[in-house]
Amino acid sequence: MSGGVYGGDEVGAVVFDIGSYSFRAGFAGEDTPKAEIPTHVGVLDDLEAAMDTDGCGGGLPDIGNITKKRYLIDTVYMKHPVKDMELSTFLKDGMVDNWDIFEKVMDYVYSRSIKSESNLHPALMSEPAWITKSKREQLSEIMFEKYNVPAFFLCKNPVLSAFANGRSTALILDSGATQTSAVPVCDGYVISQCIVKSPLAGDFVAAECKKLMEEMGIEIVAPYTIASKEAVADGQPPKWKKKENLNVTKSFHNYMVKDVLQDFAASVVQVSDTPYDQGQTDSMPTKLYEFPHGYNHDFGSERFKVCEGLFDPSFIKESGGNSMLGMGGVVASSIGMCDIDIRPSLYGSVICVGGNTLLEGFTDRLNRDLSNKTLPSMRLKVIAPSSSSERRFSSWIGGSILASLGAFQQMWVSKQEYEEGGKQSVERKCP
Amino acid sequence: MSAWDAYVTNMKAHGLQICGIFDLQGATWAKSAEFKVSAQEVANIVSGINSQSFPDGIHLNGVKYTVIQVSPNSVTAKCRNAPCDAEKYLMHAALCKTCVVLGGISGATERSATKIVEEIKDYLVNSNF
Repeated sequence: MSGGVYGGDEVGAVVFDIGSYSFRAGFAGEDTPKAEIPTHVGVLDDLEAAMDTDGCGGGLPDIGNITKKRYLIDTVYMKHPVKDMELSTFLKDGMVDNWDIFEKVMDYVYSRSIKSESNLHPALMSEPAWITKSKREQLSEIMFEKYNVPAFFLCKNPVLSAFANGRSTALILDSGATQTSAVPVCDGYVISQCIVKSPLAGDFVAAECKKLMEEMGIEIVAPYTIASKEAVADGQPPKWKKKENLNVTKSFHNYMVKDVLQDFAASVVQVSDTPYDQGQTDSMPTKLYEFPHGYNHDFGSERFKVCEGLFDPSFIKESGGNSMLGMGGVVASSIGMCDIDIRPSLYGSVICVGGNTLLEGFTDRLNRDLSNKTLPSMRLKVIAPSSSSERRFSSWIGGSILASLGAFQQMWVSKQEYEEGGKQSVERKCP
Repeated sequence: MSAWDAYVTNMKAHGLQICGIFDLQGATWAKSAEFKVSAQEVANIVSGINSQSFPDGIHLNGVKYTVIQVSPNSVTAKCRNAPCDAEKYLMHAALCKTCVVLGGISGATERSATKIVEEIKDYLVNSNF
């Protein structure tokens, strides 16, 4: 029952990082993933397969068996409008929910991005800090039984993000697409009782942008519907022609509209340095944005209002805004739940990762909010990697670093250990 | 008590550097020679697991351990401030019906501690302890 040392320098490990916006995959030792695939897939009923199966003969048909589904994975296939194609995600709360779709995506990644057999490479997979025991066991079972990986390891996202930034003790503020979480990492271990989550993240900003557009009377036209358009002057009504014969599902349309809103948020939205003040933001320069259908407009103080809710939830108009925590609050409450001895080291390394943190002015505002919440004697340092790929892929990069370390090679759970110990062996060995 | 000593030898053979089996009040059934812990500290660990909270953290021989993970029947904790690096154990404690198994490793293979202690606990639970 010894741990055993697996592998050496030659065998390349693959690193998978599953997030609610995209799925990253690549080889350990490299500095960026080979593939970034959206975690939404197109689902189509496979009518040809359905016609081949025999009828059930009396009784109610079992829908799961009769209707086979075809999955369209990756940007090229799923963003093309197809009749009756629903877009859905296989994740829920950051954890895999629909295992069929997950297996199809893994097959796709192995054949198109990794371009190799799964049984040749040890696999390191990232997981959210709040993952449950049953999901881990099921994941290990699929990886060992279906993909026959020679060795496997699961590591929590915040730990990998900390490693990617050169630290083993830090507070990771991960603001992604669906949620923001503050997780303290101590000596490479997540302290699971002190995790604080908030739903205010990328999707929230996109929803606020949508409300702004509705208030301003701007129609969000997704690029797939546009047949032709003409250039118009600033503020003039747009002139464009719609494509004929488009027949798409609501989920597809909503996804494409969200795409436009995310692009708007990334280019125009800015976080103000101080809590929102109409007079101050009016004096800031405006930004011009051109929509897919040709309409262009200068945005002034609206672009600061949209994301103010991230830092000051009382700003959100609907009820329930007061009970949520802003970014500064999330960090402070997470550190507040920890042992008093480690708080200085956590405040001294607050690492911002995740796509949503790329909003202009995010880190400055966070710095200001946190210094207001802490004692003057506490040394506060907010670390934010400068390049966008380092922030979006920080857990993948951490995994790439970890899997290529010599000291890590004895920590893998090998197939032999799995066969002897059962599916709990991964769950137990990977804290 | 010699029957229990065989367990300790077994645990050490699997790689645990400090290990022991104690009853739920902290009295020792068997433990390895280097493992210094008081009965009160073990009793605190047991009550902490039962109430799922450790307001004062975990102490072994006066050294403070930071709690990493609490499960219904076990707790994992890591030592950050030991006199020397070799004593910075990753400690895992697992509750059986009438006893508690403690084990720790420090160094590169420290993560195996959780697995080994859980396996011993499974065996004891199956033998009705």
